[in-house]
Amino acid sequence: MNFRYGRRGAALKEGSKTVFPVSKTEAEKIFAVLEDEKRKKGYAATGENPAFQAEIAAPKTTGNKRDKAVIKDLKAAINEEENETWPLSRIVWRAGELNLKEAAPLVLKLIDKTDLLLLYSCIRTIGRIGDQKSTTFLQEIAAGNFPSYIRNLALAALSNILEGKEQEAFLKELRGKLPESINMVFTLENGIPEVYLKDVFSRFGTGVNEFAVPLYLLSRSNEQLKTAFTKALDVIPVKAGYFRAIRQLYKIAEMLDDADTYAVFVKKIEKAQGTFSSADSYEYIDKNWGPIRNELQKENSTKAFSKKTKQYFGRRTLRTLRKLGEDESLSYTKFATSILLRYDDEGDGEKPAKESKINYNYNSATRTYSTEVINNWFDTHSSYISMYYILYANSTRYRFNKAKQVWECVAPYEPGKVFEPSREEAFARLWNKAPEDIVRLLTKSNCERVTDFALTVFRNNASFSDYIQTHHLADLLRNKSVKVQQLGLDVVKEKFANTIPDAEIIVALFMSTIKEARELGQQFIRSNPAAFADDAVFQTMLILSMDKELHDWLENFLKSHLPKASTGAEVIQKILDVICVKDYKLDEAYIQAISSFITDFYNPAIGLLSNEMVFDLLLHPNILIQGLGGKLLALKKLPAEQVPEKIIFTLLQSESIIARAAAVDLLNNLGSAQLLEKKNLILSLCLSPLADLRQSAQKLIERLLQAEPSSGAELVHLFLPVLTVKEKHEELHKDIFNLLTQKLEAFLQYIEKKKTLSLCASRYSAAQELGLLLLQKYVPLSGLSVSELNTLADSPLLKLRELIRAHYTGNIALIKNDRKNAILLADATWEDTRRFAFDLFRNNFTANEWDVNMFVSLCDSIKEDVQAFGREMISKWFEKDNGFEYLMKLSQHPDSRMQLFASGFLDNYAKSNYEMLEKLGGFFVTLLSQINKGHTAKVRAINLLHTEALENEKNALLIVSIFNRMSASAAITDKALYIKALTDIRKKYPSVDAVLHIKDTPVYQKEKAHAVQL
Amino acid sequence: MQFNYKFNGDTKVTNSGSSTEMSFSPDVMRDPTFFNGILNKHLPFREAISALHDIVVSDFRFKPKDKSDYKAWAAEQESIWLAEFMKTSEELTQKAGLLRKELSDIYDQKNKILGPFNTAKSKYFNYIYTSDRDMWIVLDPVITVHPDELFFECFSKDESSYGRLSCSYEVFTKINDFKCGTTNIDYSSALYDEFQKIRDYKETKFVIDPSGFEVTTGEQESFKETKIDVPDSWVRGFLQVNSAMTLGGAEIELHPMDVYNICFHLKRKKEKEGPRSLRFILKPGEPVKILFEPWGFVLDCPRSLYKGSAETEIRIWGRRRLLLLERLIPVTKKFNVVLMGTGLPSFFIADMGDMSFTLGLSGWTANDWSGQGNFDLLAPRRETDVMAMQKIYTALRETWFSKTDALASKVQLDKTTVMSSLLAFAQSGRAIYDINKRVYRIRELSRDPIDGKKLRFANAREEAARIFSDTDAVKLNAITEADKGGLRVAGSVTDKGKTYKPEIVLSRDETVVSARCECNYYMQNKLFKGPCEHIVALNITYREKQTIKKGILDLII
Repeated sequence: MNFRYGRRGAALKEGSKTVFPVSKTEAEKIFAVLEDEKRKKGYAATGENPAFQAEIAAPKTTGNKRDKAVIKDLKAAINEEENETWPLSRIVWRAGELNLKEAAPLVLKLIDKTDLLLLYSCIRTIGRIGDQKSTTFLQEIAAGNFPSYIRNLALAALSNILEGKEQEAFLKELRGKLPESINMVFTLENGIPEVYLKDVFSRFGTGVNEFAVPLYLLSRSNEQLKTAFTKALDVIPVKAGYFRAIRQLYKIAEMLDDADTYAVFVKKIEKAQGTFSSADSYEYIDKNWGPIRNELQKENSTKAFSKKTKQYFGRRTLRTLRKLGEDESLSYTKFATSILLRYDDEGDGEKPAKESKINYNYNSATRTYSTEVINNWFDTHSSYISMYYILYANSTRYRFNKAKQVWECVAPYEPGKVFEPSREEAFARLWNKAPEDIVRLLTKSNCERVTDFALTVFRNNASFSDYIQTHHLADLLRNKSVKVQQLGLDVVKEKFANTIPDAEIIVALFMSTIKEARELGQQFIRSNPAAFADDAVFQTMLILSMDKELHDWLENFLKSHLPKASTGAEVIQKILDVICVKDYKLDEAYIQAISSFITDFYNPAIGLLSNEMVFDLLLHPNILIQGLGGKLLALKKLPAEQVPEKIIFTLLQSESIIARAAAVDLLNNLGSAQLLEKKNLILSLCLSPLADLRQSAQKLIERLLQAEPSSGAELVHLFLPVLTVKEKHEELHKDIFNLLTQKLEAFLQYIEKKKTLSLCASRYSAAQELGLLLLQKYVPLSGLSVSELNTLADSPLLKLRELIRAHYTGNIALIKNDRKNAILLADATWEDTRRFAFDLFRNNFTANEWDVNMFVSLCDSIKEDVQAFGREMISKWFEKDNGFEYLMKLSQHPDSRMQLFASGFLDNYAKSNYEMLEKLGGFFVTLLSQINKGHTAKVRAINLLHTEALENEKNALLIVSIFNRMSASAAITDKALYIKALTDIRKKYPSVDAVLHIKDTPVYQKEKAHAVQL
Repeated sequence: MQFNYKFNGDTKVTNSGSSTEMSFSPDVMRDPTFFNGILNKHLPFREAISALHDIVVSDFRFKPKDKSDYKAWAAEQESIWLAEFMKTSEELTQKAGLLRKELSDIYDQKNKILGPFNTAKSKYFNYIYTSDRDMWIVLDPVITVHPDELFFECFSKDESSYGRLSCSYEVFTKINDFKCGTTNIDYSSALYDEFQKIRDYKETKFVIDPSGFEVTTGEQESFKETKIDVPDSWVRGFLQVNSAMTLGGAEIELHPMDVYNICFHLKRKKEKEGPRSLRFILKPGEPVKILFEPWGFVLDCPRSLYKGSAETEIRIWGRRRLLLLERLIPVTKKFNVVLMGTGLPSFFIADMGDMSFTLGLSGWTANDWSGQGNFDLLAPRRETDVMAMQKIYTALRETWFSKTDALASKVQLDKTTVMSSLLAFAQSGRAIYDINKRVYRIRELSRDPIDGKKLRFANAREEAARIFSDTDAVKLNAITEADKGGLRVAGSVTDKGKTYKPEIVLSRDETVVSARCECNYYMQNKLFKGPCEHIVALNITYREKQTIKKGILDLII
């Protein structure tokens, strides 16, 4: 009988089952066996769904027969008969696996301390099945010179088999070996703080971990330590330094049947990535190129957990599960449940992935290629092989890909496709016997796959609902899976057909996403509302649920069934107990909701609350809770005298605006006498960085003044300086201004004139505004001098400028009397004031008022419009005699426009005036030194100088020095004029030293010409 | 670098028709320094102090035109232009015309409504602009009172021009009281405005107010504290120019009209492309000739003869900075010019009799790497032991100013030690060389001594480059002509056994316009983060070779 086999689509390989030809019936028989064999492995004909065995075959040997065989083998080994199939260590191991108590004495006889593998198996087996007799052996090993994994295993075995006082003594001894810093954990009574955890578990990662196993063993009898230890295990990484401990703990947990701890490691290893491919690969470590194996052998290896190690642990977990299942062990479901509960949808549910492969198939008939896309799907959680094994070992839609160590989808199933629920799990038989585990999964699991599985098992076993206790129901109803909630609802309906469940279940019903459940909850309450009106637990839960719908319902309910004061107090107390816990997540809306319930429905209860409790809230670090405390304080209407000063201070400094308002309320309620005592506090509130405090302080100031009217002036002088320095907090100026002008207005009149003026001169607008106000009301403008008024008229505050201008317009005599100072108004910074001044002087001043110095001081301004006004006035009121003075003074102006104006006086006032010419020497040089500008003035000057030089020799001497200097100019126009002038001077006064060299040139033209060289 | 000042109130100038009182607020955190006198030479002082102000606020760096407004308008206009271009039918044109009219009506309305607001807004911004104008000033001028003179120093915003106005006591009459030292003064642009009102018919009091050092308490904000974060490059520039003064160079005397003529030509013409330099052509005994590039115009200075011994030609850049001297021309008797060399700092000293005004110009206006590298002005010249330096400093401090020889004989140390110590003081801002009177003067630039060594290099790459060029790790390979008359300099730099071949292209202004290298730094950053050390090293080496060729390095001690 020949056959062919191989991959679909690929070339098939040939084989033969029979050496010689056989009859057809014989051949068909052989074929049927072969096909059956293959189908069992999961193969299927084209178009068929692969059919799996519905049930993994029951073990071939069961019960006594199997156990006896193991015992027999052990006995044979004692007689030094070698087993043909199994090595001795494996037989010993198996005895432990099967928990064969009678094997214990036999194993003790088989111990060989030189064969570490056998020794390990012996310890493990004795650890599981041993009795008091084996303790000596274990103690010897634990204290002996063996590798740590053997010593630790012996310790674990000891902890398992010792009982009563001996165990206590053993644990005490273990503790004795721990360092002090870890040991002190056991002296703590109320929980183990995180800080200690860090200290204790910082030993992880150090490579040696001599404390990991003792701690684990100790934690098995200490609930607090167990919680802390499990928490620490959750976060430690799978990498060098940690992995040795993980490996030992994993195996010990397996030995001790500690499913919860075991599950922690299973998931941890499944989630971790192998850090290198294998121990034989080469790598640079510590500047040495060599196999990683060398490094692994070191005590403080920097390498650990290869990909191969990961695969090994995957295999081992599956084997452990399979063995437990095959041995019909009750531990199977326990282990499986613990493992399944480790996984959830949020952290572990990666998205389904797809692997596409394109096959190009050549069709020789058409000579074309056709393409075929093969999608290989991986569903969520599919890399967690133990989880899938437990859930889908018998599934037709998932299969294990050994090479990739991952579960893949079997076509045509794809992730997300609807699938008829069926029993796909491994060892369904065992699950049918484990209702507690199924209920545990239903109530605790956050993974939809797991709850779906549990639901299928649950629905398949009608009797399971008997195992649901009342305390499970709330968990079921609170589950995020609607299906589980529905199950819970069904059970509630069944169990509470005639009675009313307790508050927790009703709240759970209320919070369910199923409408029917919520209605059922309300129905329960309607049937006996009075009981719930005073059920503090129920109300607390609804309030803390922070669900709008529930709050609305509760509001309506409480409106018609007002609770007793004592109930209210209880509710408030319970709420506070919950929210005052450190790190409890609170927000504005939360506190708002809680406080509105308190004010609306539990108001009478507030009187029952102790003062200290409210004070505690006020001192709470969370500002929202401080706010709540403030609110309660206000509602409590506690007389302010009874509140300790410290509380008021703390409240005032609180970040919560409500708390601060409560403090201000307290202050407001103080009697006058006490208020006066707190005067300094109130004054400091006015300068507080917080706007709300500053504003509320104003009322207090008002009361303070009523109590002690004499202090008004003092307060004004206290606050006034604040306005003249830069404000330390935003809007402080504004608030102080308001305080002064509203509450302290009556005392503003005490501010003297000097202060008022300095307020006006301040650079801050609030001060200027106040200055303006004072000027309008209390400081008569008539008392101010012209220079003071001028300063005010140049204030940045428009209103102030307008006020002064109006005053000037009405008091022309004033400016006429002090006109020298008044004229400076025209040089104000503000343009509007300048224009006003121009008009004022233009219209009101006559020749009697004006004098030369005033004109000059106008012209001396650097502002163009003022200069122009000055020039206009000079032209208007010009008097001949003053020309010399104008020329002298204006010629010093640095502005070229003014210089040009001054040059206009040259002709009339500098002519034939040697003295004047001498004085103006600098002016001439300045004019002539202007580069590319001032042409007119230059020409005026040169003309004058030219003509004047020719007047007399004295003049010429003076003027030549100017021309000499200037004649080096490169400006041709100017230079021509200088040369001309110098030539003329030289001609007239040959003795004057002009830098001029006149050359006679060969005469070419008819007229005689000169060539000039400077 | 952080500079902290505390002034007792603002500097005040009170002006009336007949008198002016300038009361400067000194930094009260420094050693008390004060002065009280009445000004005698009004107008020259006015012009000089104004010129000093011009330096403080000057910024000659190239600033590209802001075209954003135009671009916004063009973007708005684009659709209209496009529509016009695309218009096909009469009907559409009419329709578009109507719409456009409607749109322009809306714009008109909008402008009518928003007009007052916009005017007010721009008015407000103008107000802010003028009231905050002091933001222009990087660092307040420094005033130093010495037994023989009083001087003001400042450094421009563009980190390239240094100004120093020294007034001997002849400038003042009735000097009441003074205490020597250096202080910063509170300075504002309003002060400049008040300076303009100085006239010789007004009595002008000049006071560095000692009352600032008295403790005052009051309600007003009497003390004004300012913290100025001055860029390191600014301080470096200041110290570089300071130490450049100590080095000396080719000296010429210019007639005021020569400076007038330089300004005249610069004002008349505007160069659109380089080179933008002035070439001083100096021949012993002959008038100075100044060549204006790129126009090729030669200015003869027949009244200024070069008295040096060797014929030389020196190029300086950043010539528009000379316009800062314009106001001084009428009041100056002569200008002493010290040219250190091509591309090196130059000094123009206006001699006004009792006053002198020094304008120091760095090699280029842009005080960046592209023009630097002639030689390291902040490099220590010679090691001197600390005790000797301390001794020299104390000795100088006793008299406040001294000639090198006199100082050397006073402390009885050899002249080179004294000179190198004095140079180190100049490099750290503790003393200056008065190039006019040729003496060293104590002048503490800041309250806390500046660490000149730290400022020596802008970054680690410049430092590395200096080491390359000092250790002869740089070789010049080829110098060829580049586009637009520039030069392409190729070289090789050996860095840790590896050889890189950087290349730089110099413009006709001898600034680096482009550069490249083979190193990783250049490959990653190009020039965006500044040049690599190899490019800078090549630049330095090329410059040094040039300078040696021209024999100017001999001038350096």
